[in-house]
Amino acid sequence: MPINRKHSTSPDLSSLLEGLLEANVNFILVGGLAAVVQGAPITTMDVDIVYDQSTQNINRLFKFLISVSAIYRRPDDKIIEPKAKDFSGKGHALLSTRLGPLDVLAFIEEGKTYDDLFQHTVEIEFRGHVVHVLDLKNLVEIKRFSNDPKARQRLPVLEETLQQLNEKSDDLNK
Amino acid sequence: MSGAMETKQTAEQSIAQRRGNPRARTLKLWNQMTKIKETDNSSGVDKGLVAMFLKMTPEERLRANDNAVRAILELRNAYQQKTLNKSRSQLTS
Repeated sequence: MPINRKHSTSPDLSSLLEGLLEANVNFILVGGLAAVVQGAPITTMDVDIVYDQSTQNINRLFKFLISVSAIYRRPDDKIIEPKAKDFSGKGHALLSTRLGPLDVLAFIEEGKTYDDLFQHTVEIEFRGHVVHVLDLKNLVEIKRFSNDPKARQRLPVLEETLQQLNEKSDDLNK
Repeated sequence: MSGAMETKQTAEQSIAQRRGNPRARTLKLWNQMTKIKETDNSSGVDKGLVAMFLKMTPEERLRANDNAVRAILELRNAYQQKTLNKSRSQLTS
């Protein structure tokens, strides 16, 4: 029977990201934080990752999740801990950890998995590690066809960020 | 008539500008600001804020997000506490 643990009300998403990197989990940062990292002036309350579903990686991910006291986020007060087998399927695990909310996704829109998305990532150095982040162009494409109202609401900011990034890149290439 | 007034205003402005009149400089700045605002509002996005974030490093952006999240939660908690106190005081009165 899991013990009742109250997670911090002051999340530290940078440390959550750093923890995943230190645990050598192979993942791609997607969602709001991926946009933040690439310069979009938005605020996001969770970390969204798409992970590599190899057995070794699932084991590393699961070990990390235990270390941060991960439990499923639920509207009620029931405490349900994730199990390693939860990550070998095609579902999503929306978790709460002591460092903040973490969405562990097997795939994103159009069923795109870690392997599909890896070629569309940018490498960003962060606290001595390299984090693979879904590039802004693909993030914009995903949000453009998303049914999620929050995603559509953020779209103009992401588009403007992408435009300014492209202009900067054009200026550098001149 | 209005054409004549416009001509007069333009002439006044150009004289003032040549003399370095502060009023003309303010007018010029105002026109520039209005132009910038119009551009910014076309997409509803604060372009200056985007430019500011793009000048930051990825780590600085993450820190800014963490700080914003903490501030939001702190304000939410304060609001919830206030609402709770208000309903408690209504119950006792």
